[in-house]
Order: sequence, then C-alpha cells, then structure tokens
Amino acid sequence: MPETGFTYLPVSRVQFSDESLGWREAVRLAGQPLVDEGLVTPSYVEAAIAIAEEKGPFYDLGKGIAMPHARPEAGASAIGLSVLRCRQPVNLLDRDDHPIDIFIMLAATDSSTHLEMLQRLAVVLIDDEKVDRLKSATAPEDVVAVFSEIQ
Amino acid sequence: MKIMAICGVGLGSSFLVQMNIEKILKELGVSGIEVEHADVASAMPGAADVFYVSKDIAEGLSIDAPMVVLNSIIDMDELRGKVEKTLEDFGLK
Repeated sequence: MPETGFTYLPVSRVQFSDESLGWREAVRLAGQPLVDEGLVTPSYVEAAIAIAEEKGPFYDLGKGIAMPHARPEAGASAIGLSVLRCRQPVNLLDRDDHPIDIFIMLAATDSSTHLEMLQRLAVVLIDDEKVDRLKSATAPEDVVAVFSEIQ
Repeated sequence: MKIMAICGVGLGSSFLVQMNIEKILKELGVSGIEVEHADVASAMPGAADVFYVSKDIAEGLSIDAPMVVLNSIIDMDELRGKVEKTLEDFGLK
C-alpha cells in the first residue's frame, strides 16, 4: 500500500517519555511541539488542562488514549496533531480509572474543518490492531506510519 | 430524527463520536438520521431527539431528553449496540 502521508502529524511532533509524569505535565509536554511550531499558543495548552478540570476527563477516548484539546479561541491558529507516548501511564485528572499512555493533542480552528484529520484518527483508533501498533512503536516514524498508510 | 454527540469542548471527542455513529448507521443501512456534534451547553431538549454523551460528562449533566452514556468513545462494539438500541427505541429498526 503506498504511503499517502499524513500532513497533520509530521515526525517532528511525536515524542516518547520514560518519565513518571503528572497529568498536567504530560498534557503540556504533548502540546509543546504544536506550541514550538506555532499552531497553538501556550494558553491553548493551559485551556486544555483547565477544561478537563472543569468538565471531567471527557477527552479520555478509551484504550488508554487521550485527546486533549480546547476551544480554538483559546489560541489555535492551525489544524494539526502531536503525539506523546508515555511508557509510564499517566492518570488523567489524577484518577486511577483514567490511565493514559498515549496523548494525542488536537489543534483545531473551528468545530468542523478538521473533519478529514479526525476521520483518519477515528479509523486508527477504532482498530485494535492499529492501536497495538501505536503502542508498540519505538520511533516517531512508526507512529506516523500507522496514520499514513491508510487509504 | 436527530442524534447529537456531546463533549466538553464540542469539536474533538464529540466529532469522533458523530463520525463513528454515522459509520455504524451506514453499515446498518439506515438513512435519514441527522447526526451532529456540540458542546455541553448545547445539550438541551429540542436540540436533538437523543444525546450521546461520554460517561464523565454525563455525571454532571441533566437534560430532560433521552441520553445515551458511552464508556469509551472509540469502542465500536459498545457504540454499535447502543445505536441499535436507539433505533429500536425510536421504532426505526
């Protein structure tokens, strides 16, 4: 299958951590590449933390995967993703019923133009075999490949 | 009939749920059902016939309308079962 590429998640935005991270630390670390590349402001990342504190761990998608995000007005200027793979699970909101080992930070500029990106994400996340591959990945290229090879 | 997926922000988790519901409806060969996504503030009677909500949002939400609570947003088996139940409840299956 030819690689179609996945421009929303370049290799430069995939990180791995062996550290024991607090959940806020993990969200900040996950979002850092988006901040560095100017897709979001640091306040967007803080808003993603604040909204979980306010509304609960709704961006825990299941399967140990969380997708932190905030409203675009909090400081997102482009559509994109970043990934943090935590080798030591992080309890979202310090709740042990919400252990997370993959954070996928989402930047979106309104409520619907990121449809294509989320469709690709949905195809990967509902497929347990692909999720296993994401979790066993040891290099950023392997993570990006899981998203890229889908037609 | 209209289904609305709800999350805290109204553009990430809820959008995923919307897409997965649409996928299931297509698999089931059901048409004519509108699926949307929105934030918690939009979850009010009249906005939709049934609301799909993640477990943690549901804890703090009381709406006088049918609400389906999801344990996982990306578990298609769970979602498929609940969509089928919704269709039965509305006499569409």
